[in-house]
Amino acid sequence: MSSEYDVERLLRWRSARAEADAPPAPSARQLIALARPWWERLPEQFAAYVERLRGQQLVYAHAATTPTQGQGPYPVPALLVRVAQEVESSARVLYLSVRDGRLRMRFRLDADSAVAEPRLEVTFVSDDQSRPLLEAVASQSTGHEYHLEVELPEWLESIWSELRVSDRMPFRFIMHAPSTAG
Amino acid sequence: MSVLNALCDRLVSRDTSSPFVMRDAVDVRARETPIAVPAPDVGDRSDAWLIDAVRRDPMDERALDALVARHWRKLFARCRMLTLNGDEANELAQSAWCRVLRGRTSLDPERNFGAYLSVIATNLWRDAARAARRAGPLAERRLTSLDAPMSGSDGDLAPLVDLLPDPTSLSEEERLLLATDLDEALGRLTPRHREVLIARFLEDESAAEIAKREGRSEQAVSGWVRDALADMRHHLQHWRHEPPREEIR
Repeated sequence: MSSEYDVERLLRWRSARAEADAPPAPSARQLIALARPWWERLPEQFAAYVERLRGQQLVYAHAATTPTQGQGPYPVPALLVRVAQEVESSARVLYLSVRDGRLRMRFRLDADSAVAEPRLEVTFVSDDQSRPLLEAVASQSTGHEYHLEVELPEWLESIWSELRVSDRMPFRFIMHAPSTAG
Repeated sequence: MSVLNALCDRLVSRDTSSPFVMRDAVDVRARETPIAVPAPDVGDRSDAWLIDAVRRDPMDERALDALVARHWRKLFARCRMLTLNGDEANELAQSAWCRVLRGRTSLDPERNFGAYLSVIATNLWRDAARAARRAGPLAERRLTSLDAPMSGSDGDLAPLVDLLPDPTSLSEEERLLLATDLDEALGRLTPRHREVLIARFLEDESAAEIAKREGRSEQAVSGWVRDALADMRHHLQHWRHEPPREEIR
């Protein structure tokens, strides 16, 4: 016989059914492999992105020897990794603070860079490092502005503590959506 | 074998006067096959103990295996309810675990780990859903409708209890149909309504707790729940007067 069931109980029933249908749990080893940073899993892609950013940096170096009047700080070359393609862009650092071993930063993506993601994984790279300097998740503040806060390695803290937003930044960005990061 | 040999040598050199040690050592050498040292079972350890072992360097993989096995089904079910798709749920659950592993050194062993996993998965799903909405051609309309005042066709006093079938009284085919219909009904909800419904009834969060997390008023959250329930009832209304299984037969 049927009985009265409310939506809540049906939801619980559906959830229990989903639990019963769950695939086998991944092993620790599989998860550890999946959780490796993307540049370790895709070293060739990482190298290609860095190379592309290096080319972008040269263009900026010729185009902007000083911050453009009214445009604020130096542009930081950025590569947006989208599902279908990568898009070359740039960001301007609006606020930067290195204190107590943490980097706090606010930046604005160029207006042409339509980014739908409320969060971005930002990989900081430089020319002379084969590995990224840093990775952080940036959250959208408003419009094209994002902010992030991340713990800094000691060696970076000492170098970046003197940085000002008006300086040319010693890094470039590779940005991708957390959902595509695996 | 070299490790075993070294171990035997150490045992022999430590106490050559003990025939027990000598005999064991000789036996090990004589077998010439590696002995699988049984790993201590950590499956019955508490979450706090396992998390502590996962936090350490190097990480204890057995602890991670035990932790994943313990929480996997429930996490998958939550992800399944959110994504309404088995493959996406699997991917979302794995992504949540990856997020945990990347920040493992800052895990809090005293925290409710199951709830923590669920929150991470929900946040990942919410971000993905939000991004999809923004990228879609109807993004603005969808957002507007999410923030619209909660009118609810059933009114403010819509009862939570409804006449819906008891799954245990249905045949397997009917249960499959009901599950499909439930998924469809959930799929027709706005992402926010779906998320709130799951938080309220599957995570047992109160409206006040959801409101605090969402930065909204408790009344607003109650309105979302009410509207979501009304939508669910509407989508499932054809199940209300289904004859019981005995009559179908």
